[in-house]
Amino acid sequence: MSLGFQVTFDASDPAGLARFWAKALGYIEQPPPPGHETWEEFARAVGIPEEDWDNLAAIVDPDGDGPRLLFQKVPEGKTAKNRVHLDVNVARRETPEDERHALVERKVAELVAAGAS
Amino acid sequence: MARTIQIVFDANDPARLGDFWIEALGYVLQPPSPDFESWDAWATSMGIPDENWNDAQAIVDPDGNGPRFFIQRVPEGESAKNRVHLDIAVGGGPGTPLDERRSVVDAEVERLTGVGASVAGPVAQRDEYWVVMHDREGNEFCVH
Repeated sequence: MSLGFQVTFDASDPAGLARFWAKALGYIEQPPPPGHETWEEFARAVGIPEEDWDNLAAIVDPDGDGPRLLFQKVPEGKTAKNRVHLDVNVARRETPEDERHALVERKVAELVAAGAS
Repeated sequence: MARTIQIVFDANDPARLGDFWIEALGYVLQPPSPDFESWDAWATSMGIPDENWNDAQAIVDPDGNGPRFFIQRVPEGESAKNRVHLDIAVGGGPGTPLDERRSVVDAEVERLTGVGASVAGPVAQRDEYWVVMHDREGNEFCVH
C-alpha cells in the first residue's frame, strides 16, 4: 500500500495563500475538528495563544481524492526557484489540442484574477 | 469537482530521485503504453537520443489514490530551502498516543535512511512529533 502525504507550503500569509489555492484547485478550508464550530473556537479550547492563530491554514479536496495542502507561516520570503512545484491539470491527454489550449488559457485567466502572476 | 494535481520535482538525476520516492511512498514507475515493453523500447522507437533518456521520470500510486510525480532534469542544484515540501503521514495522527506515534515515525525514518534519505532532525511541539529529512537531492520532507 502506498503512504499518504500532504503538501506543505511556506507562507508569509498562510490564510491568504490557502484561499488562493482553494480557488485554484476547487479545494475548501479544512473543517474544524468535531465539537468545534470554528478554528478560532478550537484554538481557544486547546489554549493556542491568539498571536499564533494565523500560523497555519489547511485546505482539503471536498471529494476526498487529492492530498491535503497545509500552509505554514515562516519569517523568510522566497529567495530561489523551488525545486518542487504543483502542476494543475485542467485537460486530459485525450482532449483535442485546440480544446486543451482553450481550457488552459481560461484557467490561467481565472488564476491571474485570483492573484497569480 | 476539484482539480487534480501532479507534483513536480527538479532533479539532477531523475531516475535516481524517482527511485527514491518509489521506495519512500510505495509508488511504482509509470508503465509505458501497452505497445512497449519498457521505457527504453519506447525511447528507441521514438528516436530519443540515449543522452536524453534520463531527462524525466514519472511515478504513480499503484492504488490510484495519490497524485502522479513528474521528476524532470534541470542543470542546477538546490540553492535554498524549498518553500514546498511533502509530509509523509505514518504515525496515525492525533488519535494515536504520542509514544506510539513516535516509535512508528522513528521506524519509518530508519527505513527511509536505508533507501537514501538523510535526517535533519526531530521536532517535538505540543502534542506533535515529526522528523525533518532530506531526499537524495537535498529536498526537505517530513515524516509525521
